[in-house]
Amino acid sequence: MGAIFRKIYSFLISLKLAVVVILSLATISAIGTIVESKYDALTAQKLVYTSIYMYVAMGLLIVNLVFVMVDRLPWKRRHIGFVLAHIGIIVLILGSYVTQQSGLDGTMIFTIGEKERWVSLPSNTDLIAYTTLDGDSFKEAFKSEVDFIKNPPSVQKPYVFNIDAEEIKITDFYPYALREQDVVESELERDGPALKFQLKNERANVLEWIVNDSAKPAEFDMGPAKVILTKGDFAVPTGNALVIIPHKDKEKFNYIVYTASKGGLTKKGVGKIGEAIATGWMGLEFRAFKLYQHSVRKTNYKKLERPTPLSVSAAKVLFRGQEQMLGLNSMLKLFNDESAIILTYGNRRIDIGFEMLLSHFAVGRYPGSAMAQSYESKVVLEDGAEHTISMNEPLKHHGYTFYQASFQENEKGEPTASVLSVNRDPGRWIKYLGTSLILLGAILMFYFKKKLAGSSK
Amino acid sequence: MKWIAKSKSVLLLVVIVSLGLGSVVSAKGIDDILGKIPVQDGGRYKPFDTFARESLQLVYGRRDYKEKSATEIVMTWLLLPDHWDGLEFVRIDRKDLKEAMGLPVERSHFSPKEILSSERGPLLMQDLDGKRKAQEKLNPYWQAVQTLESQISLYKSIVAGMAMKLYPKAEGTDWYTLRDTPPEARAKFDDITKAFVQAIDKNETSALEQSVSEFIAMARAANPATYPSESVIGKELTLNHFHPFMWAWICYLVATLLFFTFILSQKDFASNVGLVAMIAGFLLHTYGFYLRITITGRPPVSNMYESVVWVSWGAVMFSFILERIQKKKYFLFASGLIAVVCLIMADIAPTVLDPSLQPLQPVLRSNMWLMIHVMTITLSYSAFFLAFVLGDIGLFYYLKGEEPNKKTIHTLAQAIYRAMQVGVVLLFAGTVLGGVWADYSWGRFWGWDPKETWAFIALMGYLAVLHGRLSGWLQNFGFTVTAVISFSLVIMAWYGVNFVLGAGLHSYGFGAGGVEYVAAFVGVHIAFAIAVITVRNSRKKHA
Repeated sequence: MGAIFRKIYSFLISLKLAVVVILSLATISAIGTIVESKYDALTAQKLVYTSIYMYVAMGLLIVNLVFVMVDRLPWKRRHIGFVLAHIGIIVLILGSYVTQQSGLDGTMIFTIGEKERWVSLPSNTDLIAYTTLDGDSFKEAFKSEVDFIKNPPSVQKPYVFNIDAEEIKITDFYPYALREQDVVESELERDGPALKFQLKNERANVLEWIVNDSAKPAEFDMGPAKVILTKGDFAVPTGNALVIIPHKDKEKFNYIVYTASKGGLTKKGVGKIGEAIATGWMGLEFRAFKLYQHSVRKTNYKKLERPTPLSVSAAKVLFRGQEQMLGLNSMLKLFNDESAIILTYGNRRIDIGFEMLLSHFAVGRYPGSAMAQSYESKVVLEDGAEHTISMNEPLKHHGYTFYQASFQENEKGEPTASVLSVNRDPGRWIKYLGTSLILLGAILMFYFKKKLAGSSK
Repeated sequence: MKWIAKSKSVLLLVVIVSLGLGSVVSAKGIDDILGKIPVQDGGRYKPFDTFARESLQLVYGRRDYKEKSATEIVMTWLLLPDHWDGLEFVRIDRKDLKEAMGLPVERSHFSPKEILSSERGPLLMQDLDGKRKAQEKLNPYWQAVQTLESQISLYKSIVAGMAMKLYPKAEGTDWYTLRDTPPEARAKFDDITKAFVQAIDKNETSALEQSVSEFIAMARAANPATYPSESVIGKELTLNHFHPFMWAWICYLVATLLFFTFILSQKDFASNVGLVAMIAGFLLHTYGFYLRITITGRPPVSNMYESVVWVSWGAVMFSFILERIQKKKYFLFASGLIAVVCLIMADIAPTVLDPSLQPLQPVLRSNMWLMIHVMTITLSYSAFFLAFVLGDIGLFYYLKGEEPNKKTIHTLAQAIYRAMQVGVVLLFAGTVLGGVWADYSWGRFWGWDPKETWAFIALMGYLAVLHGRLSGWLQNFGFTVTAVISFSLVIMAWYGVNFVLGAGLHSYGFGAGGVEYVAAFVGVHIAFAIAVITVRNSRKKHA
């Protein structure tokens, strides 16, 4: 019995264990960077850096460090560096754990001139369901934190929950998917028509959908000319315009061409799907590819191998035998016999407990270019005081720190919103203490080693 | 005796430095006169000389064209666009791109006319646009398409007078493009072009000199606040023409050869002259840094080129310090090798290591912590680089014969140990400083960003080696081998993250190219280490 105990003890204090742990930490981290380069930071975070392997390696490291120090008892003067450095590592790891457990690291997106009090957390996701009887008042019926990246649901192992005895299943998860808007034919009389067309001449080639999904005619405006799709009514256009009205025959449509320079209506007739119609404007030819009498827009999620800056994650929801996709930070309506369920899947949002107004946002550019040189937000707190948050100059308030992270701009390059990163880190000073101890210890260790080396000569 | 040697050294130093400087002072040609006109481009003010060199580098692939300076070439683009449209000078490297464009594969340069008349060009550009809209990561082929697009659009917009901004607006910081320049200033610029033609024709530059000074005076008067000072422009011209880093590597090369001679022959003369050449190289190296710092107003460690130059500087600096402890010239020889290799690499590969001076991203601006963090980390690379080269030398001695060189091998192992200690302390301190900086500007001490993760991995690697040495597993031989192999981790952290992984927050230093050479470098060293291990084992068996 004693022999086994001694064996375990000598393994735990061995440099062999230290080297193995150090090398496995290095290996796990290296895998993490490869995963990040292949996929993205969130995936690497979930699957590698916060994986059980990482925790085990860190745990073993602490055990090893403690035993190695205990083994050197009673410590002598020359051990100071060694002890400080090793205690420092333990403190640093504990500090990181505190940060991970009770810290907060999120983003706030402010539209210029608006108030905000919600922080969105990029690594926590919640699944929430609301029920409604009348469509006006909603009641939260289900809420749970889910982590589909770490625990992806499948047909064999779905994520299941119930609302009013109705079963909802999540049967699949796409970590990276592209949201695509598609137009599909519908049976319902109330849905408007949709048209897929091409306008083409030597210089331009436009292929577009227009969907008439409101009471007013739908328009596609390409500057010098418009294409208008209507069920029947429309106001006579003043510029160049081509008006399309569905025909009883599905293969045909009515069209009217207006030309501004020729004082209005220039051409009228019945066109056929797939055949070209000369508009008379700069050699532009019109061609209808598809025309649905009744149509609806549908959102599809195309599964991708790897993420792109536009991809989002999406979950497959099975309800009453029907499968539908639910994208991250969006919602899905499910219809019951007498009520409706709104299902949302999104990043957790946290109320910081006070409101902030983004009163002003400015971007400084390098002279004569569109390159951003600096940017800053001016925010007004609840007491009316205005504060400036800029790169490297954060704002501290009620235990939170607000950093200028980035901004959003429109197509013209004008900023529309400011992105702040919001942070609360109770482990910060523990980590600083740990790193200071390590650094001090390392220097002392090398200092004593030099002295030893000198005395041995 | 020692004093005489020292004063001799100083004399030699003066001669070497002034030899180099001489080439700047002499010969004031068309290039020098045109080159000093300030241009607003890429978010900063630069001399026309730099603008022309960068433009020619992008379009033609070199900074001069058939012995003619870039300034003259770009001026003739403006004057004779029809002539240039038909000349084959736009460089395309990728064979598959030439094929896709329907261009003859055997040529390396093509005329703008051929490229623009290629029927498949517009479709290719449309596809590129689609990829950019979808924000897809571009693979090397599409990056090449993008380069071609910027080559043509730069050439075309220079010709159309839209790329060059020479004349400040009275208000604000924006300048007029050549095309929009007010008539009276435009007339002054036309004087320059006339005098330029005259200067080429009659080899008489006084009219050119006068018209350029008049134009500069007029432009300065238009908005004195935004117009760059003569001294800043002058410094950049010195950097372009004198090229201190080139003279530095020449000095280092001489020094390295002399130290090599010393190590083989133990002749004091070689060591003394080598030291002089080394100091001269270091002074020139430092002078080049000084120029870059004063031009950009920031420490020069923000891209791969600058870090390569900085790391080699650090290695030389450490070798001077460490040489005081162990006066065997191994440190100086090793750092000389590093400096020569790094500086030559920085000179010959401008497409991978871009030497142009770029403005900084907002997050990197005016932050003391950041600069200290980056400089500390890269200095640790210098120390590890030293350990690596010393390891190489050690392996070489093992190959030569272990018994007769026992003392040398032990000295080298001690030298490696010193270099590694310095490296580990600096790498740890630098990584922590990075954490402090990230905490200060993002509120995140550690975020597992690939660059910081690889710094961490390299740190773990060297810690494992030092612990191995401590426990006695790694004797001199194992220690020498690991000094060589562990440097692969530094190469990954330094180069690989930016050029191979290509992900993460530290993306402001990103680039592409050279992967095969770096991989070959790492591969050859690992193979060398394995070869020495095998040879040593078989010798032991036979002994």
